[in-house]
Amino acid sequence: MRVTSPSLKRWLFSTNHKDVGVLYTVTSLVFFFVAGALALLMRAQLAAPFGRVLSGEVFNTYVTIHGLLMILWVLSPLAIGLANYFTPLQLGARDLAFPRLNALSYWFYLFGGFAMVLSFFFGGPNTGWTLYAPQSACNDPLCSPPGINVAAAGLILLVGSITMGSINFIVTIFKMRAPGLKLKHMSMFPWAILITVFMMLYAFPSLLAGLILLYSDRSFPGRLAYLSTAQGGNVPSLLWDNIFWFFGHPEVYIVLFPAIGVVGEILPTFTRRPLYGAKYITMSIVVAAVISFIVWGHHMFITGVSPLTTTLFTVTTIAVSLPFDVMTVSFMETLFRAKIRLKAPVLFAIGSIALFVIGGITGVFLASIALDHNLRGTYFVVAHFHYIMVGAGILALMGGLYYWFPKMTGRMYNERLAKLHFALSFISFNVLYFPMFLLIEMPRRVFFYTPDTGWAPLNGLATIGGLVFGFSQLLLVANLGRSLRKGAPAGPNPWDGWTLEWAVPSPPPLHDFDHIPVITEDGVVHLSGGESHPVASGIGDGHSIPHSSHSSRWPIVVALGAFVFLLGLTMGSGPPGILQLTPGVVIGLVGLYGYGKESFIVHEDEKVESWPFKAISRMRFGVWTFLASEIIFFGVLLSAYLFVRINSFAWPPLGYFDIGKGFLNTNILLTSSLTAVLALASAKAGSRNGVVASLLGTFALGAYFLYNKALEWEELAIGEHLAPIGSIFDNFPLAATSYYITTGVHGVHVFAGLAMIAYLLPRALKSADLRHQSQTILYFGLYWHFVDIVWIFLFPLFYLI
Amino acid sequence: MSVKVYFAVFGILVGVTAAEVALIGVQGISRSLTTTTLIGLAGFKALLVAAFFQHLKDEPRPLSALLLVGLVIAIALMSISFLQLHPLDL
Repeated sequence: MRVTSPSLKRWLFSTNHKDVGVLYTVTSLVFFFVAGALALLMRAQLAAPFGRVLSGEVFNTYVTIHGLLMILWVLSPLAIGLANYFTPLQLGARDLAFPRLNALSYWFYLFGGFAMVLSFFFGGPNTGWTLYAPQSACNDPLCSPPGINVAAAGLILLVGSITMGSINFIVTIFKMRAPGLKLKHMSMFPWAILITVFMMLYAFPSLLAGLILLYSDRSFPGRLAYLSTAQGGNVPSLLWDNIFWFFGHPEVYIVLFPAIGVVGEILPTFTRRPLYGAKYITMSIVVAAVISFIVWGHHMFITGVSPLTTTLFTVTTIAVSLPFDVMTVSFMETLFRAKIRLKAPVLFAIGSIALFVIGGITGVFLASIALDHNLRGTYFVVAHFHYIMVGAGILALMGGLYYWFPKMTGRMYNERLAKLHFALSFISFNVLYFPMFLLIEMPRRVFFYTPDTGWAPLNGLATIGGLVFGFSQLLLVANLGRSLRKGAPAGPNPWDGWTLEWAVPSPPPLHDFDHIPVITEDGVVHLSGGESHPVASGIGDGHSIPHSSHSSRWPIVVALGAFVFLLGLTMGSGPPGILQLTPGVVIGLVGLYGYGKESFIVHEDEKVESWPFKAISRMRFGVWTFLASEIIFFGVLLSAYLFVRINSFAWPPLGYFDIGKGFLNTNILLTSSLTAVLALASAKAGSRNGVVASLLGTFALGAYFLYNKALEWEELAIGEHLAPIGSIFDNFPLAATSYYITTGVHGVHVFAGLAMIAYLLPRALKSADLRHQSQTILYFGLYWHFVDIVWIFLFPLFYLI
Repeated sequence: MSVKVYFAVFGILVGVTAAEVALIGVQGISRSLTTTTLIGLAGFKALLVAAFFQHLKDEPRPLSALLLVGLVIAIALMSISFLQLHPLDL
């Protein structure tokens, strides 16, 4: 790819955290307007009885794409955009730990958004953002052609983006803080981001696992059908409910916490006093994050599950509201009797808190099983979550945009216009959503209603509010767009802020800090006299010397390859042909080859604060963090196995899965783990022959494992040798689904490991410094052993139990 | 870590795998005890691989916590299979 325009080159190839932050922020705003336009059309449809603006099918598709885009492509990415730009600055770092991975995250996010928008042209997902089974599965009349598949491709890219981003932020925050900057010194925004990315790391693999089930269900109906099978009563739909909400409910807090972090930055600055109870706010966020993983069942109160679980989830749901009380009270105490400078950012922050209180309290109503029975699926719920998502989330993040705009651009925005934007947004928001609390008899996904329902006045009012709210957002674009060129110079610290980003010029230089700041025990910052670090990443932006070696064209190519591959995989109905997959595979391989071959060295600074992970390198820490997400991913697949195993009517008897073959394959993988660790030992000892032989051995064993697996797959499918029972598909469809998906996903992991060995072997042969190569072999080994561990559990679960 | 340790760990892993297969042929053990034992043995093998082959025992302790949190969360989801539809089986 040859790009000559310096400006285009910068935005396409930059890996600098500030550039990537700007890309995230601007892209999320574009998606905000796309998804907002869909919402306005839905409001137009519902403005009066017998609406004729949209057909039912289109309305359903708009509801789905609006929800998915707003939650996943607007709210979190807007926060991640700000986090990209400001977290390294607030930590006293020069960039994120893995700059190229950061760029890759962005491009996965963007192409994922393209796929989501494209899905509309393939028939569109029409099930609501929850993609509930069995509606989302192909056997159902509601199932649309490939629309849901393409949407799933977009979601898979997004999960990839989020997983890479989470790893990057976790490693950065733990390993790259300025000397002396302890965790306790961090302000609220980096704290909120740290907890958010941990939640992302643990929650999103569940969505990925769910999407794989959904895709296999739609592509191989009747064969790999977890979600649309006629077996097992309501088990399949409950399975999706569990997997989706296991991700979906933590997602609410994933969206909310960065907003709380932004409010926690704005309030101290504009009240000129420390955040009241900052330590307790942080602890509350941690507690809420933990509890948020055990509340998902409250979305299933009326699905016929046992009273024991509904009671448990009622308790946890009420419990999760308590930490938010602490946060709200702390914010109010910070504001109480303070001399507040009423600038736009703080107005947005205060507005956000007020709306959060309303959204939060109405959420507690829904924790009650009795109330939930009546309120669920009505506009009361729509009002509740929009008060949280838009009221608390978007408004706070917009406050953050105004707050940090001077730092990002070096120019002030127009204060009067910003205040008008706030006033219009706040008032119209309440005109839009408060009437919905009163529409407690109106189902949330109807696309028309009749006059005798009495819903017309409140709907009309909501539509007026929606129109004003929607169009008032143009003030934000007009204000920031104009100020970008004509705003008054901001200077380095227009708000007299206390955090580290205000200590550098506006906009910050490419390398962030001329001298890495040093923080003393009591939190005092020393900005000069530290060590000078000439190395920066990214392409020059006119503020500093360009370091073109730290730009990379490969992240966008890799992401494009993944996008084209997934489109090929999902565009048609049923399994794709080779031709559909080839372009994506080719582009992806070219990208990965370039990515791997490119020299892109990020030096690890010794003088950083990295407790409690001082003794581990960034890369190794990153690989381990990835494996933590893999634990959840396979955990969810095993949960699906367990769910159908316990609840299905029929399961193959002991011996149906050939124990001898399972035993052989287990020993093959265990031996491959031994050879992998011997490769590491050989590299450390400087033995090239040892490394090559061990890696070749690992490759051969991995390939032999896959060969055996393929034979076994075929045998089970045909069933000739399994008399008197016969094919697994004919006799045990749920067991077949579970077996093929679980071992199939594991097999893909083995295949990826073989590809890694194919990459490592030539390097081991050529490398002058084998000890240096040992690090790469170690990273590979961590992955390979993990894949081995997964099989260690699959063997007894399928063959012995 | 010496190569001898790796071979010793490998030997244990293969031995325990053989024991797993042998266990299902033993008469007189209840199905639930067999299942629990097999899961326990798989956990033991996984722990060995993580501790010695992945060198987790030499890594900072908080790293183990990071992985343990993932494990606990995954188990929370698995537990729902027992609680949600068959609460009386407990």
